[in-house]
Amino acid sequence: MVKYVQTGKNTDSNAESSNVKKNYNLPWIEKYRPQTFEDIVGNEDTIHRLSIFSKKGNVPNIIVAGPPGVGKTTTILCLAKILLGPSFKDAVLELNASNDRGIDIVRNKVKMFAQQKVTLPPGRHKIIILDEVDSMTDGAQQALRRTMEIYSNTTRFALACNYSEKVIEPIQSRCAVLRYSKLSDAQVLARIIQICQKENVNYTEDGLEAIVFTAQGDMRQALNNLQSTHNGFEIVNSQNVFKVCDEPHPMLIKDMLKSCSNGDIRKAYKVIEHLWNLGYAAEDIIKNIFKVTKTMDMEESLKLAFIKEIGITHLRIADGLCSLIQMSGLLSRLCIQAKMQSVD
Amino acid sequence: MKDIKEYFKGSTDHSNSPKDIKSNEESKEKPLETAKSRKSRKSLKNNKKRKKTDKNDISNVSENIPDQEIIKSPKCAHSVPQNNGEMLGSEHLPEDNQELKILSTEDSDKTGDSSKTLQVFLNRNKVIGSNSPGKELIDEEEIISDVTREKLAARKKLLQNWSNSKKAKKRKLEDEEIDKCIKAKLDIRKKRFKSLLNIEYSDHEHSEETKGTTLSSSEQNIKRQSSLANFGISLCDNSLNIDKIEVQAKKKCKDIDETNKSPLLSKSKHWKLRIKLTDDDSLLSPIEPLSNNQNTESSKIQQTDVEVIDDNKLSEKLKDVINVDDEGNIKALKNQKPSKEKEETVYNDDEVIIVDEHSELPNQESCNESAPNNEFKRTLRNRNSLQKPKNDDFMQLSSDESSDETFKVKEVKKTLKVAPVFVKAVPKPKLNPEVLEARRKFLMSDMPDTLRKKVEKQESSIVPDFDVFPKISHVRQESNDEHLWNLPMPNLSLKNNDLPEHLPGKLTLQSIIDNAKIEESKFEETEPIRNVKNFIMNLKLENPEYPVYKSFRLLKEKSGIENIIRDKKSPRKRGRPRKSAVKKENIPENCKEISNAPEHQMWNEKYKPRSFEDLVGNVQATSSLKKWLQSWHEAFENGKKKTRRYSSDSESDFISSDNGSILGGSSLTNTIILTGPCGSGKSSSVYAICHELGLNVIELNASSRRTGKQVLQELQEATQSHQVRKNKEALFPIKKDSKLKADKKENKSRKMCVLLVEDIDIVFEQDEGFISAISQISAISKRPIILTTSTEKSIYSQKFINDIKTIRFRQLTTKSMGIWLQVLCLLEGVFVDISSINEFIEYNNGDIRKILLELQFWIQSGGQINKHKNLLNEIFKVEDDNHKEDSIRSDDDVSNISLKEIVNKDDIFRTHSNIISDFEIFQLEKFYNIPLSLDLGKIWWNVSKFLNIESAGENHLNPLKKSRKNKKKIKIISDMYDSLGLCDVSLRRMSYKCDSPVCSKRWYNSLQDSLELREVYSEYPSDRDFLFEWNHYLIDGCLNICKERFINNVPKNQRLMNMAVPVSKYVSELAKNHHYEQKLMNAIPLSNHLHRKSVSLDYLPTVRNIARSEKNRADNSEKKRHNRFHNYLKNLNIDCNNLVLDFACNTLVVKRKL
Repeated sequence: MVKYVQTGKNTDSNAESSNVKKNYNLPWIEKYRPQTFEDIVGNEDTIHRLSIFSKKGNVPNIIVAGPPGVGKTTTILCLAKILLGPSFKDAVLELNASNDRGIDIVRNKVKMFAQQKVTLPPGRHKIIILDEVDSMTDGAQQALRRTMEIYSNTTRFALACNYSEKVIEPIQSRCAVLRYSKLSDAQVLARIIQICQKENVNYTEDGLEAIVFTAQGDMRQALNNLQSTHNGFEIVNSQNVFKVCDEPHPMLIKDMLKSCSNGDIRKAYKVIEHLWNLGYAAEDIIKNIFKVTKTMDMEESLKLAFIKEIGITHLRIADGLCSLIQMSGLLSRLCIQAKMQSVD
Repeated sequence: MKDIKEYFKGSTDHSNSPKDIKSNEESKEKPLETAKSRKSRKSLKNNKKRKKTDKNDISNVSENIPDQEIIKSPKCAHSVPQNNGEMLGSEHLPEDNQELKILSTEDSDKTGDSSKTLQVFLNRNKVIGSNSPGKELIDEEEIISDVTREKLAARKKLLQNWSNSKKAKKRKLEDEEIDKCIKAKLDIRKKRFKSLLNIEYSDHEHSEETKGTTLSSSEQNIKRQSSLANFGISLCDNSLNIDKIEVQAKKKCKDIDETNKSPLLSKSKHWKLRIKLTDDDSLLSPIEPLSNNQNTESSKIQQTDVEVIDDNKLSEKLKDVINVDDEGNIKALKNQKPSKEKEETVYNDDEVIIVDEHSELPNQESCNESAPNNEFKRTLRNRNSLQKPKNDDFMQLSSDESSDETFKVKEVKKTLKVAPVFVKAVPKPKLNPEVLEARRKFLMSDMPDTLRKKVEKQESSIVPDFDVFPKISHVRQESNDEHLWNLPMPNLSLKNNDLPEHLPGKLTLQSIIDNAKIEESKFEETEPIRNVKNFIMNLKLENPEYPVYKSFRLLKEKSGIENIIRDKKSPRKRGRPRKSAVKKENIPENCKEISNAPEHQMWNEKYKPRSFEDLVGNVQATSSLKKWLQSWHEAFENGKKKTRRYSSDSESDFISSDNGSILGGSSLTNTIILTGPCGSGKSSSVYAICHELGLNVIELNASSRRTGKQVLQELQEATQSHQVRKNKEALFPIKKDSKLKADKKENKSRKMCVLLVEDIDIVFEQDEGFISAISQISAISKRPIILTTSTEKSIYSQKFINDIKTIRFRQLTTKSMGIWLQVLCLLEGVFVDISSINEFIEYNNGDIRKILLELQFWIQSGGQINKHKNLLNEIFKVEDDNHKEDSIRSDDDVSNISLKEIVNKDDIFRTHSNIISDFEIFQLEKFYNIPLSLDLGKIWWNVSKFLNIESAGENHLNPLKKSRKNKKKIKIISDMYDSLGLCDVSLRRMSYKCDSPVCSKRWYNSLQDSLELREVYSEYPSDRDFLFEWNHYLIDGCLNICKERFINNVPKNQRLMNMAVPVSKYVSELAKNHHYEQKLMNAIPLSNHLHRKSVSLDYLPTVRNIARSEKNRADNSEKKRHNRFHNYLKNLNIDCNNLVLDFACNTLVVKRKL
């Protein structure tokens, strides 16, 4: 991004100002979308490999799979832009879930594009980008499979999806599957601080911590939360962040868990009742309990026991049993586990 | 029709006979009138004049004619056209239609006159009588009407009888016509309203305007008509007149016969009208609107004139209205007042008085009037939107054309005397709009296209007439003085927390940053390996069984190195210079192919097998495929040779039949089906073999539309052409030259075609009839057809699998592929550790295509040098041990020359490994690697090895000392399995994948793909991520604890365990075990299957015991009785053979020995 702005300055001040103007109202996730591989945060290994391909060309078909907000689409766009340069417009067909991607489209539009002739330097191929492949119907995916092979001399596919299991096996078999993991907290944090400085955001450290906590390795969410907190409250501190992304407060939950591990169910129940009265859904509460448990400083075996209980409760909630009784049941079982551990 | 005509004639005759003189009179007059009317048709004034004359005629007639004659007069009138027609020539001629029409109009005028006079006089004889100059007439006719009224009922009956006798057909026609009339009227009215709206600027104005026009028209009328009675009559005339015209217009569209009929029809209608009138006074109002409607029709003809008049008059009248406007606000009042004023000026004193009276009671009247007025406004809008133009009541008020004015005046008058009646009449029941609509549609269906179009046009043109800015706004605007707008904001305080709000406290920000070791890339640029040959030699030494050199040679050809090697004559090649060399050499030679140069291809294309030798793995399947294709090929070649021989030797006719027999006689099946998971090399082996044998492959795949029709069209020729050609030859045996040419051509182009149909299990909805087409083709084909499918289970493939020879492909194993891949990697300049290659193969389920692609990705981006250099030596040892068993079990006599002895150390450190880590995510570098996307099956397979149960078996399973330590160990292990089970439960809930027990299938068993057309978003619940996260965390934690507490003494040379890949060693054994157990389980009632305790502790041990004892007995006594239990089991429908029983004997035996 730094480079991006700098080049703007160097080339033309007018262009830069127009750029700024244009960018003024952009959401930050778009504004700070990485343009080069160096700017992409996380999954360094895979991205490094891809950057080598962006120089050499001849990328095999790839599927990039990973949770949301880790830069799958960004990577692919980056790759395509660097590979194809000026002919990006002609040589790239991008279809995402908002496009119609039924069997007919695959059999006609995609195939036609694969057959098209575009003059490209050696080692470069046309690229068909299919975002969110896992939302394509199985039929459409099936129709795609042979096309991917037959035209591999001229056309390469770059697919992105959240769950690679939902991409049918024949397609997976024709692609190199690259998996992206969630970003680490540090990675998110580093990026956020960078952007805060660029945008002159007033922030406190606990605010950024809260943002990192709520994002859970999802850069997009982190940026969105940051921007909305900034726009709404000017100052990014933890209070404001939790106002924006209304979550059961992790500190409360931490207290609750502590009292559970001490076997003090009354105190723990007070917290859960309070949270319940604030109107949080059972699912939100249980998720945050898990998040907090994971990072809590406690004995490993007890932690695992806790997590097992949380998991069981989550299953019940998923089954529709989302009442306060389940939550208090969880607390009581946590207390029992804590006691058993201490006996052992 | 003839009946009707005859009847018509008869009736005319009948009517003619009593009053010869009169009819004669009329018939004389008519021609004159018609001429007149023709001239004056366009102008309203003329029209009126004509009516006047007509009226005069009628009045004369009515004066002269006796009572009964009057009643008959309409009939006479109807007879007139016929007479006229006779005079003119033939009545049926189409040219006469118009005249006839006109005539009939005039006839109807007369009839209308008489009827309306009656009507009007009945109602208003006194007022009118006092005013009108035609008073005398009225007096006379009044008497007549009294008489007629009595007679009317009888008449009606008579008519009804007639109409009955005229049968339903006629009546139907009549109804139709009436309906049409109505409809046409509606249309016209619509049109008029449109024009109205166009003219007017606002509704308010409009109402005034209408009044104004009424006034103007009334003025016109008043000026023109000397008597009010005449006026009224003329109105009625007008209306009926138009009615007739309508009828005639309709007729025009129909047959001439019908035109003949029309007078009669109208007559009867007319009679009905009349009868109605006589029946009740209140009925008047329903008829009035009707007449009004009819008026509107007349206006159609005269519209242009009328509009002009209107426009002229409008301005004047509007002024008047505005003047009046000042006096009062009530519109009705205004409207009426001018009209009254006009009346005052024109009419005599009596009238004035009445009007005065009327004006004196403005409230009442205004009430009566204003309500409809308002309603009218509304209806105007309604009309536009709904297009339900049947609001007759309001039409009365809204009528604005000159022809309506008369009615207006009448109305005004009515308000004087018959006001209550009129008021009652206002809410006259409208026709149900739906009914109307339906009727309209029904009628429209019969309409000629042009007319319909016209109507549609009208409708469509009306649609946009919505009020864009409606006068009445439903949105209240904020005004500051309104109290409601200034209410204070409600103070909704949030519930007070009884707990002190915890501020998220101590910043752990720094700690996050501290803890995070932002991983520096493990990536190092690597130099491609120099001494490929050394490595190859090593490989050969390690695996003497495997044709390393051969595969090297074959692969080298494809990789495009060989040119350079030959040219430079140096086997040692660096990758980089090699590539540049390739470019240098290739560019001048074949510029076109540069894009297809091997290094720009994907590896699965680049290393595609080109011959049978090239094929890796699946030896059985591929060889049987080859055999089959070869036999086809031979048969084909033989056939070709024979034809050649025959054709050169003798030109006999039975060549073709011979040929046919050659192919047909061979016992070759023409279709074969290849099944196997994707990436097992089905298609590529077909291509490779065909390439070798020189066959053409016609491929039909799912990427294009393949309906049954298309398939048949395209392929029938291809599968039959073989024979067709031969027949041609046979048919023309004499033409040697041409035949020879054909032969030559054939020899060039004629390769046998092989039809390859891919993925027959993929049949979309749009590919209707695909399967049947394929089976149809396969039934008649003269060429080999190869079908491929990846799932045997789908209905489509099942159909073929049952009765077609099936060749099953399997995933490639590490055994067949490992070294081949290693050689391949070497060729690409990277030496990859065999163990990680094997791991990688397992990880990808032996899908060769995917492996190649991912290897390409991995190697071209630099591979990965093993970081743990200090571990390397030991790793090599371990791997040697492992893989002797795994992949090269057969060669026990391998010389134990380890790699490092030959290859210098430099190269060892250049060994790449750990491929999987780039395609799977492992959270942390631990002793074990759990992939982030959990596959419990794989973990389950690995756990036993992880816990070292097998290897530690001896000391572990030694009678457990009941020590505390052991207890704790067991608790930890059980904890771990417990959490595994929990994860299993939770994951199974979320995914559709786990529809079978973990170990019942081989680990690579994959999910079935469906062909659903809808896009699926809800497949995974939203909390799936969360689920995976906590499952992963749980298992990770459990394993960690196990490792810490249980396996303290991890051997140092133990390499990292990879939980993403199952330990293949145990898999097959366990799977077999499970398989046999499953078979034995069949005996147990299904309900008991769930009770695992009883199954594993009760049933299976019993079976095992039985099996063992049987075996013992069989061994000892050597009798043939060891089949006994087998038979018993068979009786229980358990399919088991000796193998199963043997296995049952052997399971768990090892433990017992210990």
